[in-house]
Amino acid sequence: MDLIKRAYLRIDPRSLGLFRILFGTVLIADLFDRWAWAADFYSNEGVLPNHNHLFILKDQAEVWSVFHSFSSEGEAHAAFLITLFFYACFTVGWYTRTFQAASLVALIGLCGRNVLTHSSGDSVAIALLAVTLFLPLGMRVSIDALRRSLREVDEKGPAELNDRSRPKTPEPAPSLAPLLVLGLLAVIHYGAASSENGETWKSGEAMYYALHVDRWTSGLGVALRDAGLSGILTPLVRYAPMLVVPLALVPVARPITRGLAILLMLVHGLTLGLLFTLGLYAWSLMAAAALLIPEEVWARRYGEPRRPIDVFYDGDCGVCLWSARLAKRLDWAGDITFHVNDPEELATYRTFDGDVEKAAKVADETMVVFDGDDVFTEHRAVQQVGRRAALIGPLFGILSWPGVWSLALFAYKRFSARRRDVSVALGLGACGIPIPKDDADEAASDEETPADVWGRRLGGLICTAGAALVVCVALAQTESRNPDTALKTGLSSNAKLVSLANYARVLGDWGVFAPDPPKENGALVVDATTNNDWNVDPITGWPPDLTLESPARARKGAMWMAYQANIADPDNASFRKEFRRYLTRGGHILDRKERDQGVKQLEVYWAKVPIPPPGEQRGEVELVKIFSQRGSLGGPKRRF
Amino acid sequence: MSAGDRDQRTTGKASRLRRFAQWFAPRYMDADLRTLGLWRIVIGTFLCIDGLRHALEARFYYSNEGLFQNHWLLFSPTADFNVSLFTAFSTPTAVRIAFACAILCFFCFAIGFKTRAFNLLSLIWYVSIDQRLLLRENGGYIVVVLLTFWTLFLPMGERFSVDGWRRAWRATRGAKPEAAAEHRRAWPRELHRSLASAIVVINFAVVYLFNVVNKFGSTWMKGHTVHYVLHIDRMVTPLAVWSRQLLPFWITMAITWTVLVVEAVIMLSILWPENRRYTRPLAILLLVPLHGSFGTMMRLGPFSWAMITFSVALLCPVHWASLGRVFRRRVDVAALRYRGPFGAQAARVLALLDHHDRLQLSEGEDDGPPLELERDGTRHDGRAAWWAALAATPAGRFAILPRLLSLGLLDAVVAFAFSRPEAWARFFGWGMPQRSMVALPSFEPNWLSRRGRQLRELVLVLLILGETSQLINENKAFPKPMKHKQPHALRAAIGYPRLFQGWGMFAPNPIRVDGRVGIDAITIDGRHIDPLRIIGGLSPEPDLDISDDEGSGYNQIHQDYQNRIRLNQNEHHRTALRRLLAAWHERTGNPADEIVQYDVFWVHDRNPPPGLTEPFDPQTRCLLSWRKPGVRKVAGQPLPPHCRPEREKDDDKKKKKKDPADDLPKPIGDIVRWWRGD
Repeated sequence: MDLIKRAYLRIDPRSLGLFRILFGTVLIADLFDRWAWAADFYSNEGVLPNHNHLFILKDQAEVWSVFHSFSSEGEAHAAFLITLFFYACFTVGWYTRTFQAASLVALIGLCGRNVLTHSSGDSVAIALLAVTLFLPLGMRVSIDALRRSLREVDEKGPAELNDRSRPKTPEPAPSLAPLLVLGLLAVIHYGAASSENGETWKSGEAMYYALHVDRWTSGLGVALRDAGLSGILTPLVRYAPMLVVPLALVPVARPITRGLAILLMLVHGLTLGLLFTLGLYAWSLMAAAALLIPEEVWARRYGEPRRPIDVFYDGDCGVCLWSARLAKRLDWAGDITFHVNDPEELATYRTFDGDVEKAAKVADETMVVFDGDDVFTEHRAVQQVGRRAALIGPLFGILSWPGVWSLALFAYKRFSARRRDVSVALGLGACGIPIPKDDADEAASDEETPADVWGRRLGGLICTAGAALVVCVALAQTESRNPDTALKTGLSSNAKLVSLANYARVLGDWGVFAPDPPKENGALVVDATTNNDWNVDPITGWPPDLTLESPARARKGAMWMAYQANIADPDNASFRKEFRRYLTRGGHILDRKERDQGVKQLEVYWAKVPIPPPGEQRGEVELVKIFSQRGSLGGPKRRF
Repeated sequence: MSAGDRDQRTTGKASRLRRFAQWFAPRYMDADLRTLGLWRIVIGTFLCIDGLRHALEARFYYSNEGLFQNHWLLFSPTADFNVSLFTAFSTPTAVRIAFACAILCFFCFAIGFKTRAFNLLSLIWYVSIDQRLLLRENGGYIVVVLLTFWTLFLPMGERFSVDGWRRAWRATRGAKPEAAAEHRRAWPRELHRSLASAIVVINFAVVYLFNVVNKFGSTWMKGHTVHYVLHIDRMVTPLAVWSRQLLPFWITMAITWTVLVVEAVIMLSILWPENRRYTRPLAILLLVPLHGSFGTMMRLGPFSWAMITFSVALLCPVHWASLGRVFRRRVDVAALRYRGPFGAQAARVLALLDHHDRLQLSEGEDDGPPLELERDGTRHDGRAAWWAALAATPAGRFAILPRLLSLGLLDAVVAFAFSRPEAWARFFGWGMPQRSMVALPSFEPNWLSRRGRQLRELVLVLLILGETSQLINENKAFPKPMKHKQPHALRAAIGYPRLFQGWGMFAPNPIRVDGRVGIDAITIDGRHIDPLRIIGGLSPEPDLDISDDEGSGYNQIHQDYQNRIRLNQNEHHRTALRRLLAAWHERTGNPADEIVQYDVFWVHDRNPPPGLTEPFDPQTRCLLSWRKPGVRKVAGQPLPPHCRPEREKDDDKKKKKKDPADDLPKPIGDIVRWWRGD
């Protein structure tokens, strides 16, 4: 029972914390990617004003986005700033669950503002963020955990600092949510595999064709696409993720099986992430690999001290004591032994080689670190302590960089000279009188009461129900959108589940190259002429590439990639009116305030050319005219 | 002038400024934390009620099935800086979910749970509710926004809040009830000093000041206002209709002048720096009946009730002290003995609530009930002791409310808890508390919090400047030379949260024209209906005769919408009304309700002149007219001809407006014109 519990019903809180940080970082990177196009995709100056989007959808498409509330470019920037705040708080784990929910709302809003920019990565990221809402992501490696720990154990000196018996962290609620996270990964991976079932996948040419579609291939992808790697990459991309969940479900030898699963996820993610620009897809799945790290791995890495050091700090300085308390909490391996820098103790301290002189020389220092025979003071001492911090330790290597260390030394000296004043100013005086506590009371607080047990059970039930709902929503939508899928559950007949999936922008389009990658390379090309007879593509700023000779110039990221392909689709003709207006106003490049840069006329084409089979020459480019326009359509209604 | 003289003068100025600050701060900048706590509860409750009022209109005023679709508002905003979270919600269900979120935030603010965060969220949601439908906005909405905005800068959650309770509960964990009482005695009682408190009081007084000075029209001077107002059928309630039939004209004249005097006295009472023990209650005593009568006789939306809510902020420490004395006189001291872990926890709750030390706590030595209360020789045991002890606490005086509202469920829960004290103690893991000493709350600010406070005051100074600019620009009483162009950033900072400062209800004169929108629509089966009346909860038959109205029956949202939609400037917003009428049968779900023709009119008349009771000059103006193409006859009857939509002539400003100063006696009129800079 214990084995099953550990294997399926528990994810190590440190793995959850690492996932939170990685996934939060992915979300922030994606946000900045979108922010660069805030005016074009999130304001009424762009390709689709909010009122037009809502009007076209006619309340039938089940799309919701809080970004519909913002009209001007300034309002859009403000909304992005607020979203960044949500994401940052989620990443550092400050009011984790609250800001995770806020981040989920913001992400759904970002993805739903313009349905034509949707990509598979949006569905994956939203589903992952939603299902992990029911896991305690902030239990470790978070500001929440740090605050809780600092509140519960109030160390006053080295003896308490060196007591490494961890304060009891609350057990996560027993729930099926961890298993359901694996369930969601299975839905994503098998959903992708079952939809990517075309001829090219079977013949091993899928990645060859995918890499020859210029609008989504990265620079690295372009460099490698003719290197004959398709035969390796196609099965890797197709089959590697299918092995992840079975490997993760093996209850024994978990460091090996889980390690293998993580490796496959990383290889799959890196392949797609580095060779293509698919938005959130690859990076979200790679971040999810952290959820599979078993507790044995953490125990092995941080189970016992590896490079012990002795740290002497100023016991009368509140900031120093607080820093020592912080260092203790970040030092998972227990490498650090704390001492107060009492001159007498320092004078008698012997280094490993038995030398007492070294310690005596630094008796006046605020902070001293002894690492074997080496003695560190000033900012180097801080660096040594920082390096023992779990996960972020390597970052302290920056303090050795030229220029940085001088700044660090300057800051250290400034602080060191005024450390007691700073402590008093921050209310961190070290001379607090500990509150008398009763032993019986302490003992009682450690015991789990029936109320705690019932509370946890209830919490677990809620988490299980929530996570199950997310998985059911994902399954229902997968089946609804891909009737041929192998994942047949009958859930798609439940209209409410499908409706919920639509509103949440979980569209079940797990396979990015489904059923086959296109066999033709296509791009949207705008051939515009300005008042001063400048022939330019107002989206790229380059001359119109009607022959698709310079695809790199047209690459503008995942949102443009999806938008261009969708706007060229005749089914989306209703969206073209505003796109036309956007282009006549100068698109992304032209400044409409400059009279010379006014658009005189433009023609929009979908330029396509068949991707030649390996070893063959490229054919002729075919131009499909989408629309043309003479003169300006005028701007949107100006609000101020 | 020598350098020494200059120094002396500068020092003298600084000293005068310091003396002014020393005089000003205790009179206007101090707020009692208990007042703020009570104020929060009142504001939060008010927000919940007002949120529910709007939620009831969710379908027809906030969703795309109604009179103002979100995409239309976004395409054609009704004002500058028009941002509302509600525009993201399209369907009635989605809008109702949004209202549920808003009301939840209001409720959390009311009970003081995560107070600051929910205060901010309440502001965002309320502004969103307002911004979604500006066609029905009036000064009341602005007052509510200002209330919610200024409270952001005040510690609203220190007292009478879940936050405060949780803090105390955590701090006294494992402590004996006596120690908990000691902790409670050290709770913050000191005043909170901030510019925000002064702004609240001054802003409140400013509302009255400009309500008085802007009312310089002849109708007010002659005492006819109440007569006219009582005859605005669009706004009045049945109580006002009854009053206008009952009250002789000379009484309405007296009431008109009384209103002016009362508003002036309220303003002075609020601002009066001395004897606040008497002046502030005087202001409350005057404004509650004043606004109570406005609120019950007129459909003005949140204005009257928001002003009454505002008045809670006027309570000073001296009033709390008086209440405390009264409480102590009425409630005798009682001895409360507790036994066992369950009794100790119950006693801890009571100790934290017992703000006037009416309970003498001690641990019972012998076996017995968990709680035992003894007062004047009378003994109560168990749950009876609990209720009796609770009644001895200030909060316990209001326990009757939840007891009544829960229909006895609360009593049953308490009875159940006291029937098995040991089991509950085991369930929650309560032991007998041992700690006889707990850390007392410390409120000593450190350097960081001092800098934070200074930053807050700086922001408030900037806000004062911005709001003063707005006050000058918006109020007619300021002369034209003082009006100025505001920078875009200031307009945005005021416009987005709608922190306006234009005050003057029925100023300079009340309106003398009454009207409402009337629709004559014919359904496919030949019935005549008025969908607006159906939406407003009235009888479905069209009523295009306004002369016999005794109150239109529409609530504030409906009547203000109708009053604004008739204006030429809002002509383009009638598109949504047109769509609603064309798809009426889809809204009702009954194919027989399909409308094949409609004419929409603004039906209006003039209010009766003083001394008369009957309105005159009834008119109708066609706003919209439509016939379903291809339909010529309904139920065998030919469709009537189209009415021809007309624009309101006065509204086009082609005719010069009459200057209200012309109605005044010449010398006064000249002074008014001179002041305005004409």
